[in-house]
Amino acid sequence: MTTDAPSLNATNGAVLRVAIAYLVVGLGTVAVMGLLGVLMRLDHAGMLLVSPDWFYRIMTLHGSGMITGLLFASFGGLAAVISAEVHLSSRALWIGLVLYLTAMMLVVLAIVFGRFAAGWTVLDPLPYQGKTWTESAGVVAYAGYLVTGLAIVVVCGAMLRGTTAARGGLRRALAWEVLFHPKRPSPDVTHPPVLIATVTAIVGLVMVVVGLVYLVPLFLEAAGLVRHVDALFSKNAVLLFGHTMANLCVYVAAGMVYGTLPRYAHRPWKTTWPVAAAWNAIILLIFFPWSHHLYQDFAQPLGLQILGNLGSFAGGFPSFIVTIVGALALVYGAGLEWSPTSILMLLGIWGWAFGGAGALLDAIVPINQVMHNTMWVAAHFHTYNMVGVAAFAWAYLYHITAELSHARERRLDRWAAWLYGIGAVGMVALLFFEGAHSVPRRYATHDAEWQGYARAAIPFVAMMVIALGWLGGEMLARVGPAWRRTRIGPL
Amino acid sequence: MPSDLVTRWEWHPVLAMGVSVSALGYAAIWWRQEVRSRGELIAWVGGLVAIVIGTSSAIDPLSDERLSIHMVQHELFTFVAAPLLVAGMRPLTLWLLPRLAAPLARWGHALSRPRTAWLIAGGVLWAWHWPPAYDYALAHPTVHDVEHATMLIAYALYWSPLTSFGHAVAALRTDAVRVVYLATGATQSAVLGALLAFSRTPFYEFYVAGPAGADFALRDQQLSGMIMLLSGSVVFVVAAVVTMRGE
Repeated sequence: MTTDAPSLNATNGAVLRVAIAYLVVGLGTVAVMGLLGVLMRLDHAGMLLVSPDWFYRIMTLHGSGMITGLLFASFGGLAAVISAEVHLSSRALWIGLVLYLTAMMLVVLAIVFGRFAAGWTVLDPLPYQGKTWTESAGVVAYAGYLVTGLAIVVVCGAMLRGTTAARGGLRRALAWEVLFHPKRPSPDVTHPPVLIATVTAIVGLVMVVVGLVYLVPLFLEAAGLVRHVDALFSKNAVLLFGHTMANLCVYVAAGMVYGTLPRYAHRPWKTTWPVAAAWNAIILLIFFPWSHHLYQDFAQPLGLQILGNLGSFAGGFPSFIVTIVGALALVYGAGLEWSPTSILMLLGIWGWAFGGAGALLDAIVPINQVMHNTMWVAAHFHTYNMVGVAAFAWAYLYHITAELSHARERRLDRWAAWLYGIGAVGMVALLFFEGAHSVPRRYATHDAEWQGYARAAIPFVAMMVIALGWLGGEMLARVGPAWRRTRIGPL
Repeated sequence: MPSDLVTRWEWHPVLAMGVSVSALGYAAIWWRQEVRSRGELIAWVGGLVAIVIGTSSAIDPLSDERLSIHMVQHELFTFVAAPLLVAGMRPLTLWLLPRLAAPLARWGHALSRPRTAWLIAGGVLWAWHWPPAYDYALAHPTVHDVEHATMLIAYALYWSPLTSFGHAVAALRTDAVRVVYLATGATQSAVLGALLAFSRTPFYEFYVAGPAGADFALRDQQLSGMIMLLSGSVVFVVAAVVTMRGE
């Protein structure tokens, strides 16, 4: 990809519109879920009393809404990035958005009206028999999760179809000519965002199959056709699906970084052998780390425990060495153009690195035995998602709306990006401190001696709210002109 | 009882006449079209079949005993018959439009404006599910028929902006607005379904006072809410698949 390739060309206006819709809907969801997160933190701080009934409902909504919001915002961003060179079906993407909205509606209704609060926990008698909700609420919530899976299938199917058609087959879309014939350089190599779209589409499709493997028995159980789904099977399957989905978010979002950061560094990000190798390896390696969530399950076979430990490290290496180091090498000495986009993308790299490091520590068995049920885990995935994935997605939305609307950047925008970074880092740092001091996670009520961490986090949360309020307002004001520009086409 | 659904039918002369005239009239108009779409013919006939099933099969008498069956009946009118009739409406509209008085055509156009159609469909759905109205309709057969007719018409109006046949209806022009229209339409009916599905008390006195009792009425109400919530979601997704054009 050239470093100054415009996002809009003569043929991709329709895809850019649906991509903007994904980004706005996905990040809008993230913003609302973030406010719910603030409620939970205020409860932890002892400054706002949230009943346990509502706390777990909010937690369920916050967790499921955040992951899917980030994933679909990232899908939209990646679709926009590759649409300059790959023909994607905008019809399929719109259908995917309707499925996502339907899924969100079902989950929200199950939680708000049905009082569903089981999160993603499926060990019998969950998810159907809760103290506050009926079996119907469990079925509706899980129907929502199922429809989310269908939405992922539609989007990933459209991506895979588009990239393989554009590149003349799966091998070329996966840049295998670089991988297997590195000494015969081809002038027409698959660019990194297209490679990433192909890899993540394959992962997404396989992941949904895994999801169906446990969702179908769960629905059979609700229908009375199966008495109980095996607990160990359920837990493995739900984590293999859910953990992979959480990981997938950052890989999809990384596609936006590969496609956008070079424009601010004024250097191309090439598909070198390490890039091709790392991203091809992710197709397999992403499916191994889930098992580190089951170290404390005595019934889990030893082999899977070893796999969890080794798989977590193996899964982290390609992304860390290639993308994170690659991004730093890209910007080092390049005279990086500082803007909210580049600031947030570099912040995202930091979040990915530190969130990933937190996960790797948790994946070490002796540490896991002490830390896994503490806020350390919440710290790790908030760093990874809020500082990592969300920053990438906000950065790309800022970039695409600014580019299409020809809006001028304001100095305050850059300050807001830095403020978001300081707020986000401060907030997750306090979560890490909390975990390091063994404050348990998933507790609705925090003892007085634990409340100091959440209280100290409040100024940082306020910084994030102010920063996102400013940046969000700026971006929303640009969405209309950007949208209209996609109808006019390139000037 | 499941066998009743297949073997027990009731003859309603007025309805039979109306459906027959509608089918034959439509077939004659369809045949005269320069470009004939089999899909439109199948959709129109399918819509009429759904109305016949909803009104003449065992669903109708059983709906007085079970809210869940009554819900299936409503779904047949609003989510099956109405969209199918609208999908087959083009030849009829093209034939009717030059023959309609201008004010009538303007009214048709005005009522099919997306916001108006959305509000009418939502308003009719919620108004009839208001417990006093629902109980009153169940106790008065004529009002009950009016309830079903208004639901059918209201949802025919709702689905019409998703089609495009000339200037006869105020069609939604882009995928983005179609998504918003479908998502908000799905949500308003799903909220009603959720209220029924997750309520801890039965809403409708007619069923509570029935022979099966209050406990059964509550369980049946929860089932009816689930039917509305889940089948409605499926219908709106299918509508999206059919109406998205990649614009």
